[in-house]
Amino acid sequence: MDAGYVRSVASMGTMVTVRVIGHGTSQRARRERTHAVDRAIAWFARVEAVCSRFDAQSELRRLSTRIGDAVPVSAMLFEAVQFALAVADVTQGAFDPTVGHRMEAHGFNRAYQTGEVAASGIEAADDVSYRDVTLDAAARSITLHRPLVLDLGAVAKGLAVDMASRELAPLADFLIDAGGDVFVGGHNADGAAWSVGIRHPRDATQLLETVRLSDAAMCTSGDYERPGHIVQVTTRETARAVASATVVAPSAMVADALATAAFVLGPIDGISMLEDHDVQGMLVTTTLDRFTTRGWAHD
Amino acid sequence: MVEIKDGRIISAVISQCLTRYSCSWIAPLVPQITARQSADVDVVSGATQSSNALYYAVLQALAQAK
Repeated sequence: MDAGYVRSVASMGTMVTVRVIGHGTSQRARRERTHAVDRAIAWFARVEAVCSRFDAQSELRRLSTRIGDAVPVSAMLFEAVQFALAVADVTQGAFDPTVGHRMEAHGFNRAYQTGEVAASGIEAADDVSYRDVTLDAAARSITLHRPLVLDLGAVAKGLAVDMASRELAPLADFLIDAGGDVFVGGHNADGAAWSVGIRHPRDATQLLETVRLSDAAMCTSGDYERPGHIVQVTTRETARAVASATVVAPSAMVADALATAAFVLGPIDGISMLEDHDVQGMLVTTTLDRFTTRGWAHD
Repeated sequence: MVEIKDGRIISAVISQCLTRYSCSWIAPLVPQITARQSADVDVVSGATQSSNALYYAVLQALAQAK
């Protein structure tokens, strides 16, 4: 099989891999392919510089030091926070980007590059929520009304994948994998829709199912790789009923955020929420029962 | 680093820790890969995986061995 042109970099706490099929027959095509992959991969560092919770110099962390002020922000941070707040709203807070301090309390406070503790030091009240954050679209500003730590972990990687996919779209047949957040464009080297496996949440050597996708994103939230890393806001307990939540959507940012929300909501409410948003998904409980949206199709 | 000989993986070693997890955390994954000998899907969706580094090292090594 032609593996295509493959490039991998470590970014955003995981391994990011881009694969492009074709465009290798002429020097010009290869050069254009290389440049497109360069631009695609550059998005990961760019998004991380803005959205990282672990870097005190990130725009997100600098925003976190300004309480009560309407802080003008970059278009990227505005878009990411606006999207996170919108998902928080439609999921009644099951997804909430203000969980940052609870993530820190659960020990997710180390920068992956260095292993050093990179906690914000911000003391947030237990009842802070996304309602303590307001946006002004005209001024492109964000106001934090109380001390809180924004966490864009379920948004930023998807955003980077989406931006990368736009850079690669002219190449038609490509794959982006950001540590299990996947976007596939066009077809694989066999000219078929890409086969995307969903990891079994209790056995890393097994796949639960394989789905055929083209021009779509698939993201999975699971309780396995970083146990307890999804914090449930409503009960403040780590959500345990769902072991793995997988969502297929046109955008990785949407798929990632809704997978996280579905994970927190649980199998019944989670599937219902996904169907309300016209996306496909599968939830697997800790007892390994599967719940799928209507129309979920797998190989 | 993954070594391939006659189409079989003979060793798979993480040469560098790229993540916040220690190498010893990743090491137990290595025998699973040599036992599985498979790259039968194009890509796998899962929660953020440090092991993806290894997964793709294997995938690339397999592709180059063909």
